Amino acid sequence: MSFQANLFRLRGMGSGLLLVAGLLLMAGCGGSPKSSQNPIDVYRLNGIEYGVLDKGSLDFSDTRISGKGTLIFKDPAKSDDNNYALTFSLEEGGSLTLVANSDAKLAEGVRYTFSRTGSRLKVVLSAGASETYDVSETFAAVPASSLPLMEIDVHGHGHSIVWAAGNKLDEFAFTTRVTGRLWGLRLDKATVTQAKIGKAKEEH
Amino acid sequence: MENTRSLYFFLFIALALAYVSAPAASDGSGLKTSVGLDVVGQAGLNSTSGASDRLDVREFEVMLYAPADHLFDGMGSIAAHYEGTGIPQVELHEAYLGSSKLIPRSRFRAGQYFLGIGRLNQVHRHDWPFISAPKVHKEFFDAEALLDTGIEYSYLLPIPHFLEVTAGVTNGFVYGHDHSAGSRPLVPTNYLRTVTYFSLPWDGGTQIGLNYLGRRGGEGTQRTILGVDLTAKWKEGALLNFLLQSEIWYRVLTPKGGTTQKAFGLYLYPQYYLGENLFLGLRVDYYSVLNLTDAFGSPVKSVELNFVPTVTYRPSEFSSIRLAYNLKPEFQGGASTTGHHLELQGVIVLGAHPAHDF
Repeated sequence: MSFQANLFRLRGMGSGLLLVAGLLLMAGCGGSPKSSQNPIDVYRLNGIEYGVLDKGSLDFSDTRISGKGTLIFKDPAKSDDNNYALTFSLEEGGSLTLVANSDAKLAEGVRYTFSRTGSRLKVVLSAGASETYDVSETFAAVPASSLPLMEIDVHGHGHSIVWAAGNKLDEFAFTTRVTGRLWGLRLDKATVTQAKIGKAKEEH
Repeated sequence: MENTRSLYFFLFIALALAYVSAPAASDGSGLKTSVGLDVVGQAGLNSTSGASDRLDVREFEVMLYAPADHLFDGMGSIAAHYEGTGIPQVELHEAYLGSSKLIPRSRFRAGQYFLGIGRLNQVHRHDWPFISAPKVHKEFFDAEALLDTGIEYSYLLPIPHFLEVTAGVTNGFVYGHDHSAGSRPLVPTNYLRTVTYFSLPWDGGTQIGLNYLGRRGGEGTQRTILGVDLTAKWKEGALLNFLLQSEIWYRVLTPKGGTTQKAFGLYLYPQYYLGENLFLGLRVDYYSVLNLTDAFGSPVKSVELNFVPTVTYRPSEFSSIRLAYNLKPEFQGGASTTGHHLELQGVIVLGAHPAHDF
């Protein structure tokens, strides 16, 4: 078979592929989501929308959330594997829980709870209903009184990796597989100035 | 340190087996050794590419296979690859015994193996016609393949047309990529595949498989996967003039007491022989979570596409160099991003190479 004949057949193949691609695009992008029937008020933190599940004593502004209460971010994650970036501070005896890969009630998924006693930071990792691990040792060098940017990869297949101030600290495995796409925060005497979700920093 | 010891152990075993198998291959035992080297590099072309921006030895795999006697066969493969650490991780890929002679019209295997479902899942990654797994394969199975320990049985139906049914059950303590030992499932991984073959005009042929997989994990999540795989080939002797490969999958995940997630995905890969050992293909991937909602219960449209033109230089079945460009538009809600990255792959297979199914 000649090279020219191959190219001719290739052009035909290309037309078919363009048709398939067009159909897929139409199927995927043709509609728009129905309007939200927000049962709860929507707020923004640095432009990222969230709702409040438990208002408690939360104090809101566009750049910070503080006090005690529970909030859930509006947009679902794009993947089962995500990176969560948090900038926050804790008062004495305060705590912040990241609930990742969860549902609309923040009832399932993976939870990281950071709590402060003096300058000591206690960190507990929980997954599903039955797995709880004290991983404070990993964060021993992180001062509870001046917390750096915390980044946490949570992978749906039961894997998490943590960074503090850009330095990789450790990674953890757990048996519970998590499938939820929603995430939120539980605050108690805590102040959050940044909470972002993005692509997992590591894929494995 | 433990990983380093594993790597040295792996290299020792690999060299020892290669040394032992060389004379064994000529002594009538039929023992064959194959070593596969798969080097992959990724370079992101924009900030949303998701590319690793590095060159990695994705896999170094040693494989041995042979008939054990007049009834049974054995197969084992060990692979070393990087998993985000500086030191390669060594793992058992496949180790099973089986037979196609013990029971008429039947074959079976027991041990650890790549589950006999779909197309990509049954082919070692260095033998794929493209570099990286389509999104649907990665999400539903693994970046390479879903493997587990269990028993698989295939029966060729006694009818004039080729029709084979495969059923398997595996431990299911883990599913796909896992960093733990897993936990006892409520229902182990079970699967069923029916495959048939049709001749096509101009000396072509196509294999079509219907697939089912189910599992209920220890945490209570029910997983059901249904799919169709299709492979069509037009060959002139050993030369593959045209390949069309596609898989279409649908998955339902129901967590215990949670919200059911339904997802759908496919890939379509036509590949054409240009001459001079050059092949050109274009893979189109589609993936969507069908019932994604935001935190307030409103539906969110979610679609990921990937267009992957791929050029392969394959002077023989033992080596290939591949270059691919990934154009990945992603839409979710009102937002969209488009990632661009390049991939480069080199594959070398040393020694024997087992024949593939179609």
